[in-house]
Amino acid sequence: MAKRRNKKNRQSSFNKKLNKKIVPSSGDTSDTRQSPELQAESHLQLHRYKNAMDAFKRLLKNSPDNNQFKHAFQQASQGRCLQLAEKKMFKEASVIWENLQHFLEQNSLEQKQQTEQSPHLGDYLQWLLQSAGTHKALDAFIQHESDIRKCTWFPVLQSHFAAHLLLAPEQTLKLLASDHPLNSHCCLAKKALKAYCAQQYDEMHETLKKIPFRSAFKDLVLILKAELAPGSGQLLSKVPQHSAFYPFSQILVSLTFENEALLEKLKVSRPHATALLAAYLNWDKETLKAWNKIKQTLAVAKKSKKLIKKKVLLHWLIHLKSFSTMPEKEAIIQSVCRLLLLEAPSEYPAYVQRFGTLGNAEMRRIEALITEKHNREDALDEWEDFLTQTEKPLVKALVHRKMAELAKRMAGETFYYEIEEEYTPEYHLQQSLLYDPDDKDSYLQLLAIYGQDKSQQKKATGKQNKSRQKVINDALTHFPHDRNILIAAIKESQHRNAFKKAAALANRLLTIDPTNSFARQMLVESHLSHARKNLVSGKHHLVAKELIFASNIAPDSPRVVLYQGIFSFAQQESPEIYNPLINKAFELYNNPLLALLTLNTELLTARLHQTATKCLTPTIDLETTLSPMQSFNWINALFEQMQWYQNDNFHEFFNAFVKSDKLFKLVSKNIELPEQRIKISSQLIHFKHYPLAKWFVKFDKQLLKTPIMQYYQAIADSRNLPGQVTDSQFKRLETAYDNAIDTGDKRVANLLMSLLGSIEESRFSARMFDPYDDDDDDDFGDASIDENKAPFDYPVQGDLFAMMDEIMGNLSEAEKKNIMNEMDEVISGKISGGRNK
Amino acid sequence: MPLPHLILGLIDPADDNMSDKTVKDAYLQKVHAFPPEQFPEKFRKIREAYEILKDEKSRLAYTLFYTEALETNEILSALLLDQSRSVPDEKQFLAALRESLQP
Repeated sequence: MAKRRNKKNRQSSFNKKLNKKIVPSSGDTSDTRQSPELQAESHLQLHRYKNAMDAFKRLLKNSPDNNQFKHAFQQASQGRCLQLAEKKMFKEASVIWENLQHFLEQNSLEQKQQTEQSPHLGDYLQWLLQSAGTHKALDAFIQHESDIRKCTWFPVLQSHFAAHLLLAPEQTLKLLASDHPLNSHCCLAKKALKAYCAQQYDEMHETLKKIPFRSAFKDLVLILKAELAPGSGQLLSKVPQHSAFYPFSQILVSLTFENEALLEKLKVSRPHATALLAAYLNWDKETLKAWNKIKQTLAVAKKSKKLIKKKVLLHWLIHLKSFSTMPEKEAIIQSVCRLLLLEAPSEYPAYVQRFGTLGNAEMRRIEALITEKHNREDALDEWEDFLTQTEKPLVKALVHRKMAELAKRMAGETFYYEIEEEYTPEYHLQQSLLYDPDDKDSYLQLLAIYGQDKSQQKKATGKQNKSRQKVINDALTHFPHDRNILIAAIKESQHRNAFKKAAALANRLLTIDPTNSFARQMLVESHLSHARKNLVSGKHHLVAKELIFASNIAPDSPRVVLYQGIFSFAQQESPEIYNPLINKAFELYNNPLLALLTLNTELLTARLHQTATKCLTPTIDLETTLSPMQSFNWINALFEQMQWYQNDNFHEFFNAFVKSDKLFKLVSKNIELPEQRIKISSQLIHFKHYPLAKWFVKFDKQLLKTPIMQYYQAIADSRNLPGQVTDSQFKRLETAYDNAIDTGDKRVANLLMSLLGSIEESRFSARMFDPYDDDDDDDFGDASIDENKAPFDYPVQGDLFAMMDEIMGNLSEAEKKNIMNEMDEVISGKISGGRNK
Repeated sequence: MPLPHLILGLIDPADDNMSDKTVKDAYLQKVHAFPPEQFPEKFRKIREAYEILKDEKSRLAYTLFYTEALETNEILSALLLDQSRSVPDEKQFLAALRESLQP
């Protein structure tokens, strides 16, 4: 009793608080000092229907005949009904509706539809249905059936009646006449559903046919039919959104989703929907129970925005016994658990409890896979142990390939100068071929290793050479017609200077693939090389023969045409014969810079240049509208060719390059992008063409206004100077960087940042030899160091500015001074700030 | 790709006796069920799974070196969703319908 009183007290105090909160809100027009009429009116206007209802009820007590109050009360009640329905308080909404109807009857008033949104009888019936008042709703429906059927909202309402009648007890149906369509169709629908669940599909179809198309149960018919049809999603999508069956159809639609989407749907499904889906998915009770546990964990993880840890996953799989009730899933669970063990090895004891211990080999395998994530060397040892535990040749081959891959990555990471033989990729790939001699990929990898740049490769020993030859022969025996193997073998032969073998392989490749450009180019180069040698030694008949071979392979090759011109010139010094050939070659090259370089290099190599310059007059038609990008591409191709000449010891190329200066200047003037100009400066300095570099940088000065920056960058990049920058210079550069940031000059800031980065990197390597470093382990070379020098500035071999002098070559003192000043300005940030102006 | 076996409907991923023919038959069956014109994404996965399992060498390589642990959804999909469908009983059907009618 005391408890009940307390509850009442609490409620009343709560209501007081609520009223206090509502009445004096800011901007409120209903003042307590206002008259009750005005207050009531203001509640109504502010959609405070509950207060408005109370206020008008009080007013009607005093003046029961006031029609205005009656209509206002009706309006307030209707508004309140809708408000409650929106809050899903259907029972309360229907009670207010009933009270309103009672009030209207008493006052002989008619139900007045205030707006289109105002509630109507259909709404009331729906509220009744949704608040478990099917019986009452059916009563009301029977009373007003003829009127209701005329209403536009009837089709919506009838699906709700259908759904609720399907779920209602038998007695409710008895309210309807036995021949009433709702009654008869409901019986048929129930029968069809029973047949569907018993999987008696013929009977179900027969029953469904008896339900007319316009029936209230038509959406259920669609659902039942859809469950049997292959494209069920399409049929289910025909259930209209206003239908009572729509939410249910959406549950079933999720069964047509891909796994990922279905899983997401399952995560948010309500209990009975989950149970229904589980039944369709053939889950047993235990699985459903397990799912509900998992769902909770997933919900918590989602809330905290964290991923489920692999350890937790493994724990689920091992401990949620329900999963083991599906014997066919046991193998899958074990596989999944093994994969998870790699991420959560600490769960191994639990794994053993369920699946038993792992074999030795399997243990080693898992250990190796775990180890390789952080220590490749140890992983190699683990795989080595694994190899002792297995007998299968194919497994051994695969493991050796894996070890080769690890060794390859290790070679890229290691600081060791020497890698032990059993840690080299080459060793493991060769071993793998002993167990699986048909693996093309291993051959290709090995051939690529053999064909690596000579500068990067250690000199192979005699024994190694033998084994390499064996591998190459094996590869060609196993895959005699494989393009990739042949190309790799050609490259390897070229790198060993075995040109005859390379040419033979290229010929073999051309028999398989007559259009193979690599083989063609290789053969052309080979013939040209022979032609060049023969021309120098005066064996003209052999040159002609080689050129015929070369032109048979590639008649339109610019190099071949060019060399034909040179050969014609060497034979008889008549411009009528060779000039057309040279001009044709220039046309074919489509890059006059490259063509001129090649021509001059070949002429100089053949010692024909002096005579040739008198007669050879290639007409270079340089387009006046040459784009900056095209100019850059031409120059880039030129540098690539020069690099090729340098690698292949064509010593004449530099002189040939000097002879193309004029054309180079013409082309390079078009280039505007600072990054491209920096690259060109670096290349010019790399090829030691200092006069041209000087000219180029001087031109920068006119073009970019900040020549020193480019110049310095070019010098620094090409000569690795940053390591020789002193502390004070470094600080000045940092200040310049800060100034560039402050003034918003992003370009200069970026340039300075990259420069500072390279300086720091360079300083780091200088510190590796720090004579004052106590930790001897870090020093891997003995640098003869002057201990009197400060460690931070070491090694300073000369001033940066002095190094620039060397590059600047013939600049006058005044010019030098000018450049120095500009450099100083850049470093102190003046130019970076000034550029924006 | 985690558990390609399941995509092809091969139950035991650790089955040492799995032959190339078994894998090919399973693959063809799946391709028949999910033709590329209608199910391009599903077909892509089937093809990918087949490439992993089509011969002994690639099967072994997968078993020996595959390390990518499955994500939660992949595990749950594999264990809970990839199986034959059934029909619920009437009670379950009506209970879910009742629940769906509740606001």
